[in-house]
Amino acid sequence: MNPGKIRRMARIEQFTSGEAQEYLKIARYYRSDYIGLHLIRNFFLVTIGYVLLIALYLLRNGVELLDTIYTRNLPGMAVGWIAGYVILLAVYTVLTYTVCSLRFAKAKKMERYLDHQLEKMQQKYEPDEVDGK
Amino acid sequence: MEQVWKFRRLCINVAEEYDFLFVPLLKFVVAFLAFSTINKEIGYMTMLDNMFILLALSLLSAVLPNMVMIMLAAVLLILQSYGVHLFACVFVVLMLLLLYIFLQRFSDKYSLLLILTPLAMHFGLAPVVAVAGGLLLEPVALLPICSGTLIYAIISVVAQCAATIHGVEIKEFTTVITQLLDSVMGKTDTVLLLIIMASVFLIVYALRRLSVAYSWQIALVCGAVAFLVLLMAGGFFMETSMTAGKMFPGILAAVLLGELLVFFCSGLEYTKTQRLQFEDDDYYYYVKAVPKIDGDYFDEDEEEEPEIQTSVRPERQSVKTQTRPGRQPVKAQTRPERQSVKTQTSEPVRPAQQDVQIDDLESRLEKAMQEIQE
Repeated sequence: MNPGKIRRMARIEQFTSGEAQEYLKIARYYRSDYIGLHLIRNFFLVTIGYVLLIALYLLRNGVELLDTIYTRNLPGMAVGWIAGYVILLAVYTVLTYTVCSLRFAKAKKMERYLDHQLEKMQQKYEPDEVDGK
Repeated sequence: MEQVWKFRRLCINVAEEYDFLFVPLLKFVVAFLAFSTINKEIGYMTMLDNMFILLALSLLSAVLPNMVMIMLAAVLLILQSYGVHLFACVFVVLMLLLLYIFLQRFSDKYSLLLILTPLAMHFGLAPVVAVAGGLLLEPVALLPICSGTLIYAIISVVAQCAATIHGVEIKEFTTVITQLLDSVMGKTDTVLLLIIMASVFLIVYALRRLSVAYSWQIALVCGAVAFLVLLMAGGFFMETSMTAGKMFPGILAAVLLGELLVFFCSGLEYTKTQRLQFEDDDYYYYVKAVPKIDGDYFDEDEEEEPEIQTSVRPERQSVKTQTRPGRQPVKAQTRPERQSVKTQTSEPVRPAQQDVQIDDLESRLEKAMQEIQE
């Protein structure tokens, strides 16, 4: 039994079975694919969220809105809603891009660490193989 | 004092050894409290207010991943709101979806805080979440804490309005939605609590990471004081039912629990701090090494200088690293240990908690190997 090998194997196992597992999945993507995928997902989620907000607003003020629909500036209101949506989408796009970039960087760092550990493990095996031959 | 440190070590060892028992047990207790609180707060669907159902759901939550507990709590909340009114149910579903879309989706970690925060707030222990979170967690934990605070506001709004909206006809849904939304908007307590909890969390987190002696204790005390001061200041500017007197037991509990966390999670002997200085080809290292306390440390001969292992790692004790003139300064951090002197600079950084577990594992393995060899 080689304590060094056991130690390193335990270290690798501990590393890959913990939080790193999720990050190692991320590291399999290309950066642009990973971030792009999340930006598309973000677009749909923010759109759904904004529709829900509008729905809540209409549920709360729908009757009042219908009563005063002829006196209201409907184009102005629509422009306001669209502007709100664009601003919200822009804010969340920046946020998603930042979060995904950070996650991807961390995932790559973890992948490098794992590669490093595996390389060292390989080095530990090589002398034994030579002896065996 | 030695006995105290040995007792600490014993507690940690027992917790580590029997975590397969303690973790599900704690999860069971948390789930049971959460489910019974939802039933007690709203409680219009009597079918769900059954001890057998509660125990079965809690048992499921105890053995399955945390996300199951959160989903079960959400389903229970939605069903109980449905018992109040169909549109109360619609309101709860919409609010939960909005919380997920705009807040919670950025934080997969610490999802259990979505249950623990409302539960703590129900028992008047909101300061405990902010202080303990700042001591133990990363800033990303603020998202589930804020979501949890808003979930508590949603539950309390539905519970408050339940008596008036229960039995209102479906066609008068605007009355129900208006009342619920107006109650949520008018909840200045929640807004104030959100601001206070976020501020206290960040204060505690920032102070805890400082490279000064007793940083955990300083962070704890400052967090508790900040909570009290912000609460009183908020009272001047906002209409709120929260008073310093009402929150005082919670703050006291936060300090007591914080002390426990400092005792078990920090465990540094600042009086034996060592300042080391060495260099390699590229850098000069100015290292402050603070030994960790455990039972074995005091078993060693006092005259014998304990050897210190310093490894460049991301958290805990900071190391000020200065470069040669003309080079880019690098900040490194270290976590001191006994046994040998070792500096790791080439390896990429790893999470500190994992390091601790791995090091424990390593030491156990080494002992086992020695025994085998003997």
